[in-house]
Amino acid sequence: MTTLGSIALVISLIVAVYTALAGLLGVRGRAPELTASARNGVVAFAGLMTVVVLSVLYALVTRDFSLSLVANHSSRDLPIFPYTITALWSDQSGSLLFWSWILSLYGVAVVLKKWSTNGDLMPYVIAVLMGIQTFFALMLNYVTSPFLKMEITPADGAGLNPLLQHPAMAIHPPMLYLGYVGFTIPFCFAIAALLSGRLNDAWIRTTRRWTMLPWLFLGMGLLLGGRWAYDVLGWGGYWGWDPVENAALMPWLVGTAFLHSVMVQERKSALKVWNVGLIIIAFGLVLFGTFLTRSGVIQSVHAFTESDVGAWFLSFIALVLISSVALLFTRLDKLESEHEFDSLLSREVLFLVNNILFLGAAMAILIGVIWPILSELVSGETLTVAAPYYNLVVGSIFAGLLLLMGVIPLVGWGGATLAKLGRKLVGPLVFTVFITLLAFLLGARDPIPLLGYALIALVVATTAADLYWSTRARMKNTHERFFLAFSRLLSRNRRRYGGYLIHLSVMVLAVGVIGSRAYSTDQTSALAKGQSFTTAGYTLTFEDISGNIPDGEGILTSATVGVYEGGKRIATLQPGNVYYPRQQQPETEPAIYHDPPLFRRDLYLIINGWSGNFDTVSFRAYVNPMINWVWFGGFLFLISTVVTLWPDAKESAAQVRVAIPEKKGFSYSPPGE
Amino acid sequence: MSVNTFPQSTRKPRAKYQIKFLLGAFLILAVIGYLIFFGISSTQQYYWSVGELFNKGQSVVGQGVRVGGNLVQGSINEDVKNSKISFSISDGAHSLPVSYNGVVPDTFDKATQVIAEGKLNQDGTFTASLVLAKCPSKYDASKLEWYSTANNANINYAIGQQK
Repeated sequence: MTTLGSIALVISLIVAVYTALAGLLGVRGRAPELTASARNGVVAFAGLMTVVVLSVLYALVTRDFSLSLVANHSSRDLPIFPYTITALWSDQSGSLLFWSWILSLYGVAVVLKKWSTNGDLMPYVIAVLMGIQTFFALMLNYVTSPFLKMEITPADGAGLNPLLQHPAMAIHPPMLYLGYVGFTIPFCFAIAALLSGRLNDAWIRTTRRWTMLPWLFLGMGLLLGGRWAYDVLGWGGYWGWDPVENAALMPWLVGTAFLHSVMVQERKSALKVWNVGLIIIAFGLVLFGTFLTRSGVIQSVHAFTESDVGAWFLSFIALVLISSVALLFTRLDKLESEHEFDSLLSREVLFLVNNILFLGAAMAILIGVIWPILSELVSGETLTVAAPYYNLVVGSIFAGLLLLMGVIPLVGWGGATLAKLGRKLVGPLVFTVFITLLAFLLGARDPIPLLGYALIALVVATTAADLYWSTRARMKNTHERFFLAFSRLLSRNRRRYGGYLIHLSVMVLAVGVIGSRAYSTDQTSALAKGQSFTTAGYTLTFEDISGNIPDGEGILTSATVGVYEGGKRIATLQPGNVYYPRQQQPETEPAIYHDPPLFRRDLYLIINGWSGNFDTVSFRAYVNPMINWVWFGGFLFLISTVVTLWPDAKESAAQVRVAIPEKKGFSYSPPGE
Repeated sequence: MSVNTFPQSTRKPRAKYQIKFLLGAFLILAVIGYLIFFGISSTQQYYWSVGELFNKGQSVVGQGVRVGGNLVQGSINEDVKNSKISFSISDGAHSLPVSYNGVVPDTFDKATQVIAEGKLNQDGTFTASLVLAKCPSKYDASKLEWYSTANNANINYAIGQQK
């Protein structure tokens, strides 16, 4: 079976090269048979990659430890579903294979869906897509093969790191990959538009949804990663500005800028150079993120895979960026805006500011991540920056973005006067002051969190008000009841009103972030049985502890701690520590008490350690206010984005209307169309 | 297709707006640039070997730094009751005593390389707020994996835990 897989891998390289060339030559040389063949090549490539993936999965499931991938990341007692399957991407070569496979599936989806409406663009899209696939195929065949054999076949494998045996960890990598890889598609369309010279707005309309979907997946991946960190890693937090976390955040930020900026292009045919530039940067960051994860260049959570893949990736990134930017320069004349921005205080200009802020945040993070390398190059000394830097810089930029989000619903396309804006701000400002006072009374006394809450209140006020008044206006016209009017309003203008819903859900998340970052407490105390300590109003009493409890692959030590508040017992927590003899590794199991009401805060308890015979046990208690608002906000984000993504008849009709002019002039008919 | 659909006479002079836009954009970029500069210069930390730290001597007392070295076998002194641990790291020539207020992972005694983040004290000892340790992987003796005291498990937040 692995032989089948390796053969398929080799053939896939040949198919990738052929398809890329066929697509390019077919459209330049006006040879419809070649372009048709290229289209089939995309499907064939996906089929071959599926064969490769299946053969690796087969090896995993049949415990074929002659393969390095299987031996290093699975074991006989690892449950087949899902952890033996997910071992596919634990390995470096496996994860590159997974990348390429997902991209091939995206390719098939794009080719099948878009061929009829974007006939002139598609061969170029295929050429770029397959060019990228050629890189991955070269890597998989010659640098890091999933079929690498062990020198001696071991009797049993190393097993999967117990930290990774958690449901969130089964979904988090595929989500991230679907996100990362998905950004390749709009990139291919942008380059195809540049190559073909067809720089009207069709490529933007086409790719908007194809960008929003990976953007959603990436966002979900980030949230799941944070949730896993919180539940499993036992340090009480969920985001550490770790290089690999940053690597996933940067393209997401640039993607967010892109999603907003394309609205300006759709409306005003402006910011065209920005949009092409943003998608090139986003894709560059995606490749860079993959590079960061795969080469141990900067120590990180995920870098148990250090290798020579790094050098190849860097070269590929350089090649992609240089050629894309050069191509962009040659087409600058065709990317001129069709309309001027007439007023400084207009939605178009605010979106442009939005672009600058998001891009600025991504660049600030990038500089922080590579600072050890930059500083060494410049001064010879290695310097690092940590969470304080990111919190300061990215936090400030986010504050600016909050202000923007608050003001934009009040400013229309084409402009507004400052006086008019001022009048519209009165109501929201009253609400803002009210909420800020409320936050102050509830315990938030420091200026920065208060400022954060104030800005959030502003955004909620203006956004919710716009949603409400627009629905009311519609109700007046159509005499529909509120919810019907609201959903009709939504479907008439998904970008705007769906976007508002997404903004509101992000505000819920932001409340959680501010609360948990600014006001969480952390206390460590060593106790003998029967002793207690207090933290943030809770009294924790160490009641019992027992060790040597068998727990799957490991040995569990579990303590019982009683939680009291105001003299009353409110919870019993059982933090634990599992020791895995195979990996000689301990794993902390936190015990979390979610204190109601309204997700007020979490009491998060772990066992730090103990003296030999348990006479002293060290506990660490974190109290995280508002943290569940983060997860709830994330959930709302998912729902609102799905609502915004939902296709509706009006939009598909608009797409066809746009597509038809494309077919004038030179075009060809793919077979069967 | 670049079609100018607005008749010239109804638009304000282009130059006036262009200057305003550029000025505004420049201002925003300048603020962001300054933030980055200020952020880096006020929070960056040196990353030295034990020997380099030794050479810097008293001049870096009290400054937040990261120092890396090899764990000196047998130097670990654990005090669970007070949640303290002390050990020494060295680069062969110099040895640095480190104390950390917390508990380290069980595999710490098998650690080879250690990075401590914290401050050098006047008496030449180092007080760490975060400890990272590279320990041999069970399966592949030639492979090393990073552990961090921030989380007591085999994951590594090499860029700090401070919230």
